[in-house]
Amino acid sequence: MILSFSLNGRPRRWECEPGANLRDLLRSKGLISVRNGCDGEGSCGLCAVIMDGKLVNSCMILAAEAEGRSVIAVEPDAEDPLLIIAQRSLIDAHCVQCGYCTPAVSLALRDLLARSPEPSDEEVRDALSGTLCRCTGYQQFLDAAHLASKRLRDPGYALEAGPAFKPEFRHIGKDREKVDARGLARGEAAFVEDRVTPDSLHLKVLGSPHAHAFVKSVDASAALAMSGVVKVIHTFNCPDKVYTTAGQGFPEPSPHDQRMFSRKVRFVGDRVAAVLAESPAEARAALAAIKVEYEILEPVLSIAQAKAPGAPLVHSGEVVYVAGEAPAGTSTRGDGRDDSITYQFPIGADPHRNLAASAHGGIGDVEAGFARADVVIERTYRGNRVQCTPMEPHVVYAKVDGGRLVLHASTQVSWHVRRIVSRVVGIPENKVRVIKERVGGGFGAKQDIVVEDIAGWLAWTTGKPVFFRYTREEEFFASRTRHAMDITVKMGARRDGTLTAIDMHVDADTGPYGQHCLTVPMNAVSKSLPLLICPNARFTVDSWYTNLSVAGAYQGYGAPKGSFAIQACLAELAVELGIDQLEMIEKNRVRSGTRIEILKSLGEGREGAAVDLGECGLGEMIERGKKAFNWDGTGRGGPLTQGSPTAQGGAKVVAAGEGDWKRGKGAVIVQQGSGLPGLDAANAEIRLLADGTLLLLSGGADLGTGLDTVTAKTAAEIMGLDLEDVTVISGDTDLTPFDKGAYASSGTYFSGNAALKAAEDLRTKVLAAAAEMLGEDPSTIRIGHRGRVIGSKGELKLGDIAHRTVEGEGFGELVGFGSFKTLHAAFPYGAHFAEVLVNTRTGEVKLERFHVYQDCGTPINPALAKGQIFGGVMKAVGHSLYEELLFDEKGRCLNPTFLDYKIPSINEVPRDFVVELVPVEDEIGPFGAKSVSEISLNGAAPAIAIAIHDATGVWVREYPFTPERLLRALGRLPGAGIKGKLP
Amino acid sequence: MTVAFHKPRDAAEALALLSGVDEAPGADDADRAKGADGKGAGGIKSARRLPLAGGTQLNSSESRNLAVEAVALDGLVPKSVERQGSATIIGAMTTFQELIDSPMVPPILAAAARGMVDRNIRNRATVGGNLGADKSCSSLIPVLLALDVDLLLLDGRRVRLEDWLELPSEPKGRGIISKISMGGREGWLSGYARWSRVSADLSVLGAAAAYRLERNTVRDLRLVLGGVAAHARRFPALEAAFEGLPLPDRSAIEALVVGHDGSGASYFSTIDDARGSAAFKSFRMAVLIADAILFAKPDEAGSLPTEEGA
Repeated sequence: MILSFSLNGRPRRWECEPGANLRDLLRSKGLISVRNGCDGEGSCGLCAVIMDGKLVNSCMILAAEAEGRSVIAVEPDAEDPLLIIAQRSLIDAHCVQCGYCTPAVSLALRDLLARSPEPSDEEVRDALSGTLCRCTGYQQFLDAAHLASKRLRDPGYALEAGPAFKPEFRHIGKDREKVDARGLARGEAAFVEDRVTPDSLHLKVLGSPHAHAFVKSVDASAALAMSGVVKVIHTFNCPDKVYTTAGQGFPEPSPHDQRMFSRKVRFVGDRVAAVLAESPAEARAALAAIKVEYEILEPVLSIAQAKAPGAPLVHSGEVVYVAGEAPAGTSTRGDGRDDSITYQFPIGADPHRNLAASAHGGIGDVEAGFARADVVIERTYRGNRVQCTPMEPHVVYAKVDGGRLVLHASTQVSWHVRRIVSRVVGIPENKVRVIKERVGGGFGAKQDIVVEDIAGWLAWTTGKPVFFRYTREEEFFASRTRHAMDITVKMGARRDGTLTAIDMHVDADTGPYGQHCLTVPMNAVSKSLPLLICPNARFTVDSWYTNLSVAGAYQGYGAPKGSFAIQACLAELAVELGIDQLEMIEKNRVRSGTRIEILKSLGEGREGAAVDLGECGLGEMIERGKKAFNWDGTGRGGPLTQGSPTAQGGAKVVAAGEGDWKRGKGAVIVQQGSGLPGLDAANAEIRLLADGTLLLLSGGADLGTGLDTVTAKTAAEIMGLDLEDVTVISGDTDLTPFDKGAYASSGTYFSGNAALKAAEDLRTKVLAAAAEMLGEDPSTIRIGHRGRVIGSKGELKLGDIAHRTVEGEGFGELVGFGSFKTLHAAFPYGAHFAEVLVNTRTGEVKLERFHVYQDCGTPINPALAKGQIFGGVMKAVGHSLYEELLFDEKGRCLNPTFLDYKIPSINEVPRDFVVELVPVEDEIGPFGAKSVSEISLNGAAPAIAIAIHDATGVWVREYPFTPERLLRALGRLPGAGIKGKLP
Repeated sequence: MTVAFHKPRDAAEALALLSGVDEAPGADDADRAKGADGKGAGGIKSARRLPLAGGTQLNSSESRNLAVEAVALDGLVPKSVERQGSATIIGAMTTFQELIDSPMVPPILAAAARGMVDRNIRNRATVGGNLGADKSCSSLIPVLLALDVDLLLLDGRRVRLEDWLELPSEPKGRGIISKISMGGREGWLSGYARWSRVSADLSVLGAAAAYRLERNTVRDLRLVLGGVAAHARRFPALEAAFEGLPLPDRSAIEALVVGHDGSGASYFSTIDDARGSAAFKSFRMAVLIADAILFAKPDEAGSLPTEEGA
C-alpha cells in the first residue's frame, strides 16, 4: 500500500506492507533514531514519535494508521525548534550517556514543552513516564527539562555551572560536553544496527525447551528446504572448540566449558541450533521446522540442589587442567558422553560435585576472636538473580572484507572478542577486526562474548554479512545475569562495638557455565571485608553449577551482594549491642593510614599484600550524610506508631509515619576498586595532525560512560587544546592499541592513564621539535593555551610544528604513546544514606530520600561522574525493591519481559536524590582520579534493608524487598513463598 | 501479526467486515500483506478480523502470534466527552489521556485512567479498546462495571456493560462500542483501588466498589475485582456478604474477604505466578477491597483519597 503522511514537516509517500508497524517502516527508510528496546511490548518507549501532537510508541501503531497524519521524529537534519532546544538541553545537562534512549527522551521533552512551557517536576516525570533508561537514573532529565523551559524564554540561557575541581587545570575537574553527545542526541548512525546493509543475512537461534538434556539428534532437513534459508548449524555440524565467553585477561580464571553448540543443553534457552536466512521471518519460520530429539535429564535448580549428595551433574565430562594439577580429592574422569571442561589453572573446582570454583583465606585467629567477643551473631543474606537489561540488547554485525572477518560489535572488550572469535572460527587474530560501535548500555553483560562467536563463524564460512540481535526475551534468559548468592556472615564484637572476628561464607550460583564463576563471588568478599578493620577475618567461597540462566558480570560485579551481607550484619550487630548503627561503622571502618591486612589473602588472582591506605574520605562523607539526614537530631528518636525493637536498641527510631506508613533511615559505607592491578593494562596513542589538532587512538571501551570524553580531556589538557581539537577513536582492534576493556572499574584509571601517558609522551616530542625549530633548550619551552608553544626565543603553534613533521625534511610524524599498568590498588569509597516509608499493612516500600557521598578521586568531568552514580544507584534501587528473575520448577524463566521484570522508571526516583563528590586524590590515578561508576551499586540494598528495620523493627535478609517479602517478615502473611522461587 | 488493514468508510462497512461478510462494500479495498505466492501472508484466510482502536493491544507483541485483519475504527467511533442531562457520555475512541484531561469525567474514572502511568500508552489506549480487550488487568472495567454503565453500540443497540461482557467475545457477538453512558446515580458511593509493582505497570490487582449507605448499612454493593480471575468481574457472593451489614471497619472487611483460612477461596481463587503468590494476592486483594469500600465517595465527588492507584 502507499502511505502518505508528513514527516518532520515534509510530505512523504512511501510504499509499505499493511501489517508493518510504524517503527519498522521508519527504520527501513533510514530513520534510525527510532529504537527498539522491548520488541513491541510498548513498555520501553524508545521508538517514540510525536503523531498529530501526541507522544506515542511507534511499535504499537500500524504504518497504515499514519495515513494523512503528521509525524515528528528525530533526524540529524530535523529543524523543529522545540526539539532542538530539548536536544541541546539534554546535552548541556549532561544526561546523554549511552544515547540509545536520547532521541526518545528528546521527543518526550519536546512534547512536554509544547504542552507546558514551564513544567513542574511532576509534569516532567509524567512526560517521561513511558521512557525507560538504564544509564542515567533519570535525575538529570529534570535538570534538562527545566533548562529547556528557560531557553524557551531566553534562548541564550546557560545552565548554572556545577561544582568545579582542580583550579589549576582548564578541563580537568570542569564540566565539558560529552564528545559523542551531539551525534547521539541528533540520531546519527552510531550503533551496530545502524551499520547493517540490506543484503545482510539474519541469524536466529533455537533455544532448548529443557533445562538439562542431551541432544540426541537434530533433523534440519525441512528447515534447509525452506525459502530463504542459507544454513542451519547445530552440535553435529559445528566446530568442536571449547572456550569461555568471559571477556577476561588470558589465561582466564573462568573454566572453558562452552561450545558453539554443545551435546548437552544446560538451561532453558541454551543454544540447540541456529538458522541463517535472508529475512528474520524466514529464519524464525525455519527454526520451527527443526526437529530435535532430547534425552531429558533432571535439572539442578538451586544451590541447595547442586550441593546435595548424588545431585545430577551439570557438567559430567572430563576435566582438563592446562597448568597445575586438579585439587586433591576431586574427580576429572568424564562419563564419556558429556563434553570436557578445561581449566587454565586450578581454581578450587570439582565439577563432578557441581562445584565450578572455590577459594578461601583469612587473617588472624577467627575462633579466638569469637571467643573474645561479648556478642556473636550469624546471619544468612540472599541476593537473587537480576538482569543487566541494557536497552540495546546483545547485537553484532559480522562480515568478510578483504579476506578478513570484521565484527561491528556492541562490546566492552574488543580485544577479548577478537581473541575468542579467532579461536572459534579457527583463524589467526590478524584476520579478525573488531570495531566497537557506540554501546547502548553494557553494564557487564557485554563483557561476555554472547553473540559474536556464532555470527563470526557463520559470516566467515558463508562469506555473507550476518546480523544477529537478541530479542528482549532472549536478553532476559540467554544473556548474562548477576549471580544469585547466599552469604552467611558471622560477626563478633566487644560490648563497645569493636569487632573481634568475621567469618564470611559465600555460596554463588553461576548457572550452567562458569564465566566469572570465581571472580564474581570473590569480589563479594574483596570489596566488603576490607572496609572493616578486624584482626581476625576468614572467608570461603563456593561457586556452584546449576541449570538456571547464565550468570556473569554485572556492574558492581560481586560487590553489591557482599556489601549487603557485611553492612546489614554489622547493623544487626549494632542493634544487638544497643549501639547506633553509624557509631558501629565509625568504630570499625578503615581510615587514612589504615593497614588493610585482609588484602594479603585477596590478591585478585595473584599473591596478595597488605596495603597501607593513603587518604580516605569516609569520615567527611559520613559527616555530610549525618548532617543531611539529621542523624543525631530530633529526626531520629521519636517513637514509632507500632513498637520497634530498635526503640530499645539505641537512637535509631524516627518520628512516626502517618497511619500505616512508618519512616526509617539507614546508612552504609561502600568501596570498590579501580581496575585490576597487576593483571590488566591499557594503551593509547596520540597523533599530532598537520593542522595542530589531535587524533587520539584509545583502546578503551566507552559504553556511554564518557570514557572517550575523559581521554579527550586528558589530551586537551596536556596539549593546551580544546576538546573540539581532539578526535577520539576507541575500541577498534585495527586502529587502536590494546586495552583490557571496560570492566572492573578500570576505564578512567587504566585507559585514562594510558591517554595521559600518551599525551605526556607527545608533549615531550613536541617540545623537542620546538626546541630544534626555535634553537633553544626544551626545558625553556612550554605549551600554553590554544596550542601555543612558547619558548624564550619565540613562539610557535602546534600546527607549525606538525607541518614540519610531515614534510620531506621534517622530524617524522609526532606520535605519543602511552602504556599503563600498575600494582597500586586505588579504592574509591562512599557513604550512602537512605530514608524509606514502609507500609506495614501492604508491605510496600517507598524510597523517599537517597544521598550518595562519593570519593572518586579527582572527578575528571563532575557532571558526567554524577550521572554515572545516579544511574548506578537507580539500578541498585531496582535490584533492591523490584527486580528478580523468576523460574518455575522446570527452570523456565517466568518473567522474560519488561511487562513482568520491572525496572525503575522516572517515577521510582526518590524525590530527594543527591550525589555529592568528595574528592580524595589518588597518587597514581590520572590527575588524581579513581573509579566512579560501579561503586554506586553497592549501597542501596543494605541501606534500604537497614532503613526498613529502622521503620518496622524487622530484618529482611533477602532482596528484592518486595511487598510479599515484607509482609512475610512482618508476620502478616504466612508461609515462605512458593518453593523459594516466587517473591 | 497484522496481515491486512481495512479502513472502512462508515459504520455499516465496519460492521460488515467484522461480521465476516467479505462481499461487503469496500472489502476488496483491504490492503493485505503479500506472501511469496502473491496471496496473503500468514494464512490470511484463517486470520481473525478485529477492531482496531488505539492499537495498544492489537499491535503489541502479545498479539504477534495471532494473524489479524485489522478493521480501523478511527473516524467511525466518537472521541469525545460530553454531558447529556445527568449522564456523562464518553466516546469509545476517547483515549486514557483525554479522560484525564476532561473536566467532565467523574474523578473515579479519571483516577482509573491515571493508573495507566505510562503517558505514551495513555495517548493511544482507548476506553473502547480497554473494554474490548476484556483483560483481568483492565484499568477501566472494574470502575465502569461497578458504576453499572451502559454501552451504546455502533449497530444502535444499548446494553449494560455487565450484560455486554457476558456476550460471546467475538466482535460478531459484542458488536462495536460507540459510546459509554454513565448515569448520574444519586446516593451512590464509589471507590477504586489498585496495586501495581512499580508506577508504570499494569493493574496487577484492582478493586472497584459502588454501593448505597442507608443509616450506615451497606446496600446493593457492586464489587468488581481484577487480577483474581480470567477477567475483571463482579463477585456476587462477596457482594452478598456485605448486604445489610453496618459499614464494617477495615479489619472486618479484610477478615471477611480472606475468610477463616486466609485464602479468600470462599469468593475468588488466585494463582501463583511471577506477579506474586496466590496467598499474597488474596491478602492484598482484601486490602484493596477494604480501601475501595471505605474510601468510596459520591460519584461526582473530588479525587480519591486512597493511597492506592491514583
